[in-house]
Amino acid sequence: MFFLKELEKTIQLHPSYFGPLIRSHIHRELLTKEEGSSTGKFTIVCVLDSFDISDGQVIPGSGAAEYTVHYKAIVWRPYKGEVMDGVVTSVMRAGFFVDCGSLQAFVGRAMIPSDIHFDGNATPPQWTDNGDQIVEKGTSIRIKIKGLRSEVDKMYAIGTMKEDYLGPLQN
Amino acid sequence: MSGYDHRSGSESEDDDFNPEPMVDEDDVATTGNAKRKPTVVADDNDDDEEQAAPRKEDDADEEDEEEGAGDDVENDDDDDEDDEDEDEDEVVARPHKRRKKTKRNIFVDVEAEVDDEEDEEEEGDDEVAEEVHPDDLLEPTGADLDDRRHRELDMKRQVNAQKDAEQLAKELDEKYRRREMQRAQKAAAGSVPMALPTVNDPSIWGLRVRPGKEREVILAITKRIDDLNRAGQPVKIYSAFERGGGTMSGYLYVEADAKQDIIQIVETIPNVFMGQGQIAIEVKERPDLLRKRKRTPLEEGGFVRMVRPALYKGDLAKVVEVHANGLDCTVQLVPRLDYGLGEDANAANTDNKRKRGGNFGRTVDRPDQKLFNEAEAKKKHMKHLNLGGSTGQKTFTYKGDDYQNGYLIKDVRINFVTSENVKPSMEEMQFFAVTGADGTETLDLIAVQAAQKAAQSGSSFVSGDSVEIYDGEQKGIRGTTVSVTGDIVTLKVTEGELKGRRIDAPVKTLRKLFREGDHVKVIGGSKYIDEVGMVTKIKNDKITLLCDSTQAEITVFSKDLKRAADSATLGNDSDFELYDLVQIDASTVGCVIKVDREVLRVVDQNGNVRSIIHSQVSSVVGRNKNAVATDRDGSEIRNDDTVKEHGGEGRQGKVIYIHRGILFIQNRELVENGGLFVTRSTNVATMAAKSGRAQATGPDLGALNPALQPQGPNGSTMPPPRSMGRDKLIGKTVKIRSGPYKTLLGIVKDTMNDEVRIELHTKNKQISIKRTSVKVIDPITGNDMDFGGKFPNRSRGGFAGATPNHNGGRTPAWGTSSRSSNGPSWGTPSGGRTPGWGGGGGRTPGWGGDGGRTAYGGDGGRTAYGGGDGSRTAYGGDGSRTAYGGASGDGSRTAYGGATSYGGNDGSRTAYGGFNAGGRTPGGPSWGNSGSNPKPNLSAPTPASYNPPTPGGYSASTPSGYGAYSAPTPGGPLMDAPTPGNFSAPTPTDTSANNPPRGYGGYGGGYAATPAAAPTPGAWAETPWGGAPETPAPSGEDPQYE
Repeated sequence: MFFLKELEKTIQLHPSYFGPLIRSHIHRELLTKEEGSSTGKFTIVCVLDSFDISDGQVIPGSGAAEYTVHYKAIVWRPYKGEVMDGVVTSVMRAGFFVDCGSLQAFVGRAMIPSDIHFDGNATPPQWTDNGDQIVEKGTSIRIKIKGLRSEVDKMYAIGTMKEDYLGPLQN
Repeated sequence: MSGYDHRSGSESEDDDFNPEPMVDEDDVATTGNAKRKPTVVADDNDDDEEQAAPRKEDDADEEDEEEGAGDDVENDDDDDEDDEDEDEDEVVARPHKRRKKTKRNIFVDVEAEVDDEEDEEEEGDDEVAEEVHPDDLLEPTGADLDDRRHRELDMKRQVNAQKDAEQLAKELDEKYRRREMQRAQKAAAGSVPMALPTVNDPSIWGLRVRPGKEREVILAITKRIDDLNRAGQPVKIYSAFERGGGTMSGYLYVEADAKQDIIQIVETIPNVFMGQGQIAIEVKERPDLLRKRKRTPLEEGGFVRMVRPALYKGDLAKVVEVHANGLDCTVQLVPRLDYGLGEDANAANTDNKRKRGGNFGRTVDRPDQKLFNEAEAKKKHMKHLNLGGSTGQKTFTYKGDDYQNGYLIKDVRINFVTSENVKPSMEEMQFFAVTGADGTETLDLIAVQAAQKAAQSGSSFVSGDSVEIYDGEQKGIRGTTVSVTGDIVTLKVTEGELKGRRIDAPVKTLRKLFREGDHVKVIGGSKYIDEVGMVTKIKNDKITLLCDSTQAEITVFSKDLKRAADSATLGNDSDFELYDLVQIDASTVGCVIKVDREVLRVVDQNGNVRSIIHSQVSSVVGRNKNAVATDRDGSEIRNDDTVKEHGGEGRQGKVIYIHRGILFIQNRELVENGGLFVTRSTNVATMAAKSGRAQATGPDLGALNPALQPQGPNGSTMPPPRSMGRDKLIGKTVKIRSGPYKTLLGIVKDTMNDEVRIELHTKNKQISIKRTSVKVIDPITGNDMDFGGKFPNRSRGGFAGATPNHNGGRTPAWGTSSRSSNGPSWGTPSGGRTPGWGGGGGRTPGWGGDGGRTAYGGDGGRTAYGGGDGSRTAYGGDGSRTAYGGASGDGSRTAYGGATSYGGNDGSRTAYGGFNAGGRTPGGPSWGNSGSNPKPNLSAPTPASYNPPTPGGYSASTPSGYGAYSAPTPGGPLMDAPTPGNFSAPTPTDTSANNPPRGYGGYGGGYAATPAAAPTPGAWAETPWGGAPETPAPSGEDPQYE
């Protein structure tokens, strides 16, 4: 789910950057470092343009200056039970991995409808019901999140496609 | 018979039955005995009346508790040594309890026969304990006349015969267990106190016997009872037993009403020490005599310790198979063989005997553990060696034992091994690990680990677990645990009608409840201990989870799981972490793909997966930041680059280590080896270099701005400035400072890098010499010229701006360059030539006119004085006296000092330049040049840097200087008139206030005034000091000093 969230970031600036371009340096830093990053709870999708840079404060000892930047960003946080679309990145006997944006989800064998089975002989390997449902690498797929685990800068999920309207998307 | 029932005493142990086969043994034997007894105990007992008349049967129940007599007897022939297990308890069954073989009737159950056979096998010559199924006993009574029943039974028997023994055992087990439980419940209901021995029960006496001979004595007693029975005489003792080895060896216990009865029956039995008296056992201690220890079940593949034979006592063994009868097991051992090396060749046949003997005594020295070696065996014992085994594995039979893959495969009774406190050490484990050439070693390692871990697992419920009651009345209730007390768990119900209530439930009926997607950790029970993962599937109490670390799915029991905090830490007691690069041996490194307590799984540089013990790792190699490899296209690969295998499986991933052209690459989507694979760097192609990305994201704001970073090939600091074009040195007259040509003069004809070619004046010769060993001199005067090779002092025009540089070195020159009493101060060479006064600079002092300035040049510090004096001469008079003495004027002079000192320092300061300029020129501009607001410029540094030195430096040196200068000063009277004015004027005022600037001003003014035209000062005064009203004013007005 997407949210608008107010965030804060502290940026340190080496003295060699002091000069008329300080703001643009900070701006660039904010965009490159924050956009697309994940805190373990959510992913920052987009930093909104208006942000507020505090006065810099020189850090004793290093001479670097510290700026606190307040900004608003659109963030994305997956929830248990959320249905989302993703792209299959790898297929194996035990299930398959799906990339849903910044979230990597695994759909285990137990979470795949029983009529869809693994075919290791196909190239590439796939899960299929021998009908129109084929899950192979690159397939767009809709899954539902069953569990979430976050690490410092990454999130992992367990997903299922064993419910109605879940599974490979026709395109 | 007035037996008492021990059962209740040990009931608690018994009813906690264990489904494992080995306990079956107990149960089967026990029940068998129980059933047997009544038939044997002729007098009063009936099986079914057991509970009804508990006090009426004595040993019957005892036997129930311990092992049946038959069981004990089986062991007799080889159990002489310590037997720590529960079968320590010996009961002498009364012989008449046993049915004679002849009495066996047709209705003997098949299963009973099974038991019988075992007994026979093991008992050997001993009297066979016959087992008669209780049902059989009932049947004849109820239906012996009815032929139909016979036929039914026959059919049933046929059916039974078709079942295999194992199944039968299970059924039997089932059947009697239920009874046991019922009995237990009844006993628990009311008869508990009755079962414990009281004073009215027969007493138990302890006898001393020869240690190790306890069983023999028991047998002798048995025989004697038999005899008495045959003779129809009453047997006065109820039971006799021994506790086996260990602490109680050498004791025998007999139960009887009177001591005399015991003596009567025990007397004359060898090995009984009647002389040592008999100890009566106190009533309350009696139950302890029969307490038995529980035995943990054996598991196939698990590790045990050998108890017997003595040769292997204490050795680690692996259970290969637990036989269906639950009594025997096959173990795998590392043999201890000496292949007859230690024995007398002539007495080969005594071998067996000696071994036996070895069993009893303490083995003196047993051979080391070593895998079976065919060649060794052939040397001496060819005749004992048979090659066997139809399968691919090599199997030998050597002296009656089987050896497979070097291991001894041995069938032993389960009480010959113990599974408690196995704690295999790593060394022992290695025996089982090293040997498997085909990779079995790994499995073994893991099995050992499982054995170790199993012992470590703690209580499985912790508060906060969500649980479900799956058995009993409250089945289906779900809740979270609140507290755990022993085996009782208090839980708070979270669902259903009872929501919010607290319920106590026994652990046995609980199972942990998880939901799909839960993040859980394995806390025990299996080899997966400490794995963390997410639940993907739940089936009954089996839960499948996807490991975080390996991305593999594992299935464990829910009891072994715990909800995990949001962390994926493995056991943190290891020095190694996942994906560490470790040094395995001198030439091998590997990357850790799994960390267990004892074992690391490592992918080595050849891509082989090994399990190694922590101690086998010599060190963690760590990551070499600078490591570079080249891919197949010759591009550079660094750590964290993404590469793709060329050919092969086309795997791709991120390089995590580069080791001598071998890449350790990680890809989370691969399952095997924790997503890690190894390949040669020449076998991959770079997909995206990390460095490229770094550029895209912009420079790191925390580090030095690369734009400011010095450019250049080596990125070092700024190189020395290069002078372009013709070297300035060429054509200059130089003097050689060192080397063989020292002191010679010459002209530079050409310059190389750091060499110059000089044409000597003395003889027509050109020499090459180091640039550093020449100095430029003035061809005319022969004086040194400053020629740093950098800047010639081109002009003083550049002074203002260039001051710092140019004077930098020379600033002191101001002070130091005594040589420069001439103008060095001002750009030496030109000094002379400059505004006219320069030339005479050197001679200045005389030059009164310039006294001020001269001083200047002359003396940096003091000069000022001079200068000051010059100008101040007038006041010099008083000034000198006072000034430096301590009159208020001093202050002013001090101020002066200030100015002076600035003279010293100021060389570097624009101020000077300004000064000069001032002197040279209208001055105004130069001041202006020095900064848009000269005042701040000047004033800022002044107070701080100038004042402090002044007093000290000055007061000391001044006077003398003063004196020195005072002489010339007079010479300068012409100047005097203006000067003092200028000087004095500011000074006094300054004194009190912040002199320096003003002093400056004054100085400047004075100065300017001095050499230059009158107008200059004026202009000057205005410009810089516009802000300082005093300066100009005093300069005009106030010649006096106070």
